[in-house]
Amino acid sequence: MTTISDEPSGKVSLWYDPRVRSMVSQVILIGLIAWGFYALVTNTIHNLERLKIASGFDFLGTNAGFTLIQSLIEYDQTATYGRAFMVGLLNTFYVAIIGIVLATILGFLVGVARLSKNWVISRVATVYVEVLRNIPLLLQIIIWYKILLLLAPGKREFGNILGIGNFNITGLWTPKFIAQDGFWVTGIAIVIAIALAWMVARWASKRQQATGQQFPSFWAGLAIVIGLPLLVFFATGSPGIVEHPEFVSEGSMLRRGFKPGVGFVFIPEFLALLFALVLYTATFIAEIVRAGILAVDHGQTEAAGALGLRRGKILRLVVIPQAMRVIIPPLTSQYLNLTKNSSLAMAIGYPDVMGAGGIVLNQSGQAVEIIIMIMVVYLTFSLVTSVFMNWYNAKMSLVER
Amino acid sequence: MGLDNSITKPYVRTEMVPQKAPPPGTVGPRKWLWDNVFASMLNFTTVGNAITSILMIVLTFGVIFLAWWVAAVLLKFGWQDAIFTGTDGSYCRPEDNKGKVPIGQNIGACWPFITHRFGQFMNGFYPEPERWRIYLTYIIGAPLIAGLLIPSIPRKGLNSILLFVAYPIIATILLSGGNMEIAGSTYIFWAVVFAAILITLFAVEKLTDSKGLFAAGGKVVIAVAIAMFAILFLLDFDFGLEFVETSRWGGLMLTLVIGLVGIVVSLPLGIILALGRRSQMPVVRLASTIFIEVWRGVPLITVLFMSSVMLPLFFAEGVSFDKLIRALIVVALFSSAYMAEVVRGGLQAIPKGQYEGAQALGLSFWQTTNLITMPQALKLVIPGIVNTFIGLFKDTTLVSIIGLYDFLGIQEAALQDTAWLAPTNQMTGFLFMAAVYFMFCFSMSRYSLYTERRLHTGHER
Amino acid sequence: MAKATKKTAKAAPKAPEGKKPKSMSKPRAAGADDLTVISGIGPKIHGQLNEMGIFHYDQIADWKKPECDFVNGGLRFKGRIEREEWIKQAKALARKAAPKKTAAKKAAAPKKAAAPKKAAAKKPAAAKKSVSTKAKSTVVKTAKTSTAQTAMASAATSAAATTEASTSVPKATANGSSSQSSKLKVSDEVAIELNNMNKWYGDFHVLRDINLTVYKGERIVICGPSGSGKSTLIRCINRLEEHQKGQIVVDGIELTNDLKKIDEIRREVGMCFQHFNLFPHLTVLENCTLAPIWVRKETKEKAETTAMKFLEKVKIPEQANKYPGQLSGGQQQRVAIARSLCMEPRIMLFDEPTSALDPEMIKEVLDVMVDLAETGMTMLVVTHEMGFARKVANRVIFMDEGQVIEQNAPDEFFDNPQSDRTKLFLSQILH
Repeated sequence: MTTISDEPSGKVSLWYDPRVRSMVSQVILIGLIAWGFYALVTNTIHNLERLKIASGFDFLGTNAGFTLIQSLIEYDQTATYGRAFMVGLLNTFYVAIIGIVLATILGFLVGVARLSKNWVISRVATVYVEVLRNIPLLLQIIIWYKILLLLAPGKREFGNILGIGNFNITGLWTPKFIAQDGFWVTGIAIVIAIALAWMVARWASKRQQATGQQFPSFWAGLAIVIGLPLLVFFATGSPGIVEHPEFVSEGSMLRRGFKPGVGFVFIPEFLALLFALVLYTATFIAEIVRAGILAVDHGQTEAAGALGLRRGKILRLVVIPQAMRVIIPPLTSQYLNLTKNSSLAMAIGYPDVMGAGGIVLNQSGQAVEIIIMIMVVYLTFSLVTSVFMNWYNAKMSLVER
Repeated sequence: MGLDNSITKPYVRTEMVPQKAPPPGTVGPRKWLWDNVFASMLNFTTVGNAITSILMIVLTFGVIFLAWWVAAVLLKFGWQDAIFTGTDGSYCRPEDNKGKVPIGQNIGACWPFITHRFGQFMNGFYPEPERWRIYLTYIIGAPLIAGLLIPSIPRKGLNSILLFVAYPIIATILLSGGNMEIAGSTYIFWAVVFAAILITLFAVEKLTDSKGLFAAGGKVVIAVAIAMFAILFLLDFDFGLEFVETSRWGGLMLTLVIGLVGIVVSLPLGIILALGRRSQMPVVRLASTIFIEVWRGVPLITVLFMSSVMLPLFFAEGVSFDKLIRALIVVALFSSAYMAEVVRGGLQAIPKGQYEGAQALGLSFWQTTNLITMPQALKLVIPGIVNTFIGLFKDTTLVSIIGLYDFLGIQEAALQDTAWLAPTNQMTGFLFMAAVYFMFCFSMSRYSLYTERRLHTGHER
Repeated sequence: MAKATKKTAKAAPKAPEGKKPKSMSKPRAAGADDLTVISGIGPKIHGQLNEMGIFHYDQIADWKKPECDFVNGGLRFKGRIEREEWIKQAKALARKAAPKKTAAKKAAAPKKAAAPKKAAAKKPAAAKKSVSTKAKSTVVKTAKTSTAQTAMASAATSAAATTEASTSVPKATANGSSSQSSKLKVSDEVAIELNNMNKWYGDFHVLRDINLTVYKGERIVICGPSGSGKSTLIRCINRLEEHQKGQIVVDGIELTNDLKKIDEIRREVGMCFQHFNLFPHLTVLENCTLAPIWVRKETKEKAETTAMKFLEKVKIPEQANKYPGQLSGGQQQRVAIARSLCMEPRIMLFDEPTSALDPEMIKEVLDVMVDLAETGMTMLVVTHEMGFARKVANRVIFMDEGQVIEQNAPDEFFDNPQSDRTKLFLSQILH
């Protein structure tokens, strides 16, 4: 029998001791997880042996034997599986970065439009957000793809758009800028221009502190960043040519069409994926922006107004700094979502990391390794985003008692 | 004594001023029109304002034009040029359409394609005579779900148990047919497991002098065992329903199955993960965090791919999994990670004082969780749960990529039908699907907004 | 020192002749002004200070020890007296001099023309203009002076108004001396004028036929039951709300939809809110320097100096580098007041400044507001703090159902309400 009543300095029964309980639970949990992993791994190894599938990552050096419809680096059939995977990864970056930039711009515009006093603009923005938010992304991607395919002029046709680009079923063809010898000077000029713009901004801010006069450093900076490299470019004799896509319009029917490799092309799969991702993600960004701006108490605007600040200054100095705190964390989540959603590219055949990886998986049969590689890629994106977000939150949190 | 300046005199009002109407043009429709439409467009006081005004004029008219154009295209396609009756694809073909429209004119949507195949869109390849089982499942499920969603209906606890434990079993039996031929070895296995747990509890009590452990733990184990055996028994029982294999499930019904299974499994699992992530025990916290972060960090298509390609490798030879079951497993695990984050947000929103009050009363961890924390947290996160469900509902479309014929994928199958070949079928199907998804998701998001508003007024003083 | 002489120099041309020379020619008898309350000051030093044009404690209140030590050949102050102590002594002296004061008042016009004029001329009121049009640093206290030199100073005296100020002083003198010692003279110049102002929220007639004239230097307390429109009234004055009918003229500028006029008005009118509305992402100092830098385009250094000055006025200079979230409610409201003051407005509006504060913090904010009142700032305060009204207000206005029901001097208002509604309201509020 326990002698609890006799011994005041508690000899507690083991089971009810919280430390013991916690220790026991954790040990049991570790045991279960370990057993689970063990079972998983042994089964997998056993099955792989049974199906005569090799293990290990050596297959990445094997010849791929298939082509990909878009690759940003040199790639052909003789390249390796590893290179194919690389191409897929670069394609994911490609669509993700362009998508993030465009979606942010569109999202901010729509978010601000939803708050506009102009009834027409705010209502139309609301309809846009509500409709596109509630239709699955995969459906949107497929619809865009089919529409583009339907509307595109045939492969043998020229399809002029606004005089700059040409659109047919093989894609959107635009002139490509090829830098030549001597372009490096312009490159340096770009770097110098950015540094100069930054210095101008600092000078302007110091000047304001000293004399109170304000300077339009944003516009000046923009003018410098655009103007200086342009000047240098023309001054060094315009070292660069613009390669227009070549359209073979004579000869046998089979030969007609745009010459591949000449000029720059956005393939319809890429365009469809980009449109759908941008329009879909922009709706979420618009909501985030709207919530962020609404989160700033109206009293702040009133107090700033009562001090004599004008609308533009109020926005810049009082509302937006506070709104940004609320906007940035969910915004980075949306960026991550866009990157993850780009994996839907495999539904329309765009070779992103999922699509190219899928082809490699089918050809080589190394399912486990490929899936692990793909997961590592996406987990890295996630991890980097979380680290950034945590750092940003810590830095920007309002100092309170 | 008077006021401090010689001008102002003391004043007392003798007659009150009555309410008057506002001057015309300062309030009312005219003012509303001015404020909300024209003010931003006609402000030319400074250069900056003038530029903005011109921009606003361009934007407003541009937006009106864009909206009108989109609406016009949709109307033309879906209504004006559409065919509404017909019995096969030839009615919708421009060159051959049985005189519905003059040859060569544009044909819009082909609605008969949808209406005639409506059953397939809704139920997939489920055999027609058995479709009543699907409708029965809906009829049983709807009030259970409504009971949880409508705040004023009481007995939410009972409702939850019915919805999360009893309903899945019933639905499984109805939809698949039950009669799963569970091997006797399964019964024996579980009997052994429960017995082992009971014996362990007994031993622990005796060895460590813990009174009441066997009694309390034993009750729990017996209850779980009874439930488990009941479930096994029901699944095994032959109710006389025809067996319908899961590869025949499809259409909207499959979408709903995946979505609901996802939610039903992910809610309890998510709660456990959320509690684990907040736990003080380092191993538990680490394990939960890793699980949540890994599942949230990869796209759903990757895990679906993994399920169809890798899952068979994880299990011993001979254990075969239905494609659907595989997809359901990963969908459930995937959404439980998101649900865990949602529930964690709710738990964090509960003031610390609640935990302290419960501790002061002497409640144990599990008692606190069940009686104090969880009810409040769950109420707070209902909007979050609904939002997760909306996301899940949209994500079910992804299973069409791995070969399951959900509502999106069933169109692929429908398009193959040679009797119904017509150029606008695909677009008609897209329009229909978009409309249906929009309807579902929009109503759910409205509900979520409604709950959020209610909760805000409930919590704020 | 240069400051002081400048003051007297500038004061000379504005004052009616004869007054300035008199004061400059011979040192006044000690006791004729309030410098005697400074401990350690003897007649010789007193006279020297008078010769420099310094007659009141507050002209030298900001002097730090080095300045005190160096004065025209070695004036030395043994120590500085604390403000509270000075007020106490001043009041005591005033009470002692009371009979003479009432006599002076009764003699109204002739007396006014004579001695008070010289007092007015001497007053840093005019001189204050020369320091800065919006300076509040020199405060002239209505004193206990037996010679009926009740000072008149309005912090917002504009250049054109100086002559008016001097001429209106005599009138005000008589009146002012009868009121409590902490109340200042009110000029005849109009600060705010509301003519038949009406406002609707949709169809709801929230402000009805408001006719109100606020003179420079007046402190007006507006009270009334909730929903009576008092907050709306003062929010209309700086265009936080729009009125539909009638006229609002602030400092001579009419309030319309014209953005430029609104900007001008907002520069002259400061406002303090019930919920402080401090900018949480900026430090206290940055909160105060934001508007001067971006609206008045001042240099950072000057803005910070001004900000520190006002933070000292509200007695929290040590919190300058903290964030609003780290301060208590009372401290936050004081920062809000300092922030508005940094724009050096002529009129201050207060919308229930103490309603959101815990009781122990109300006093510190009210003290700051009383100090502000004593500098002669035109103030419109919506509040329920009746003690404050009694102490500082020139006028109390009672509003109900969107209209002015009663207005009167505070003592009269509280002791002798005329309207039934007023009586009902006052009975419900402990005053």
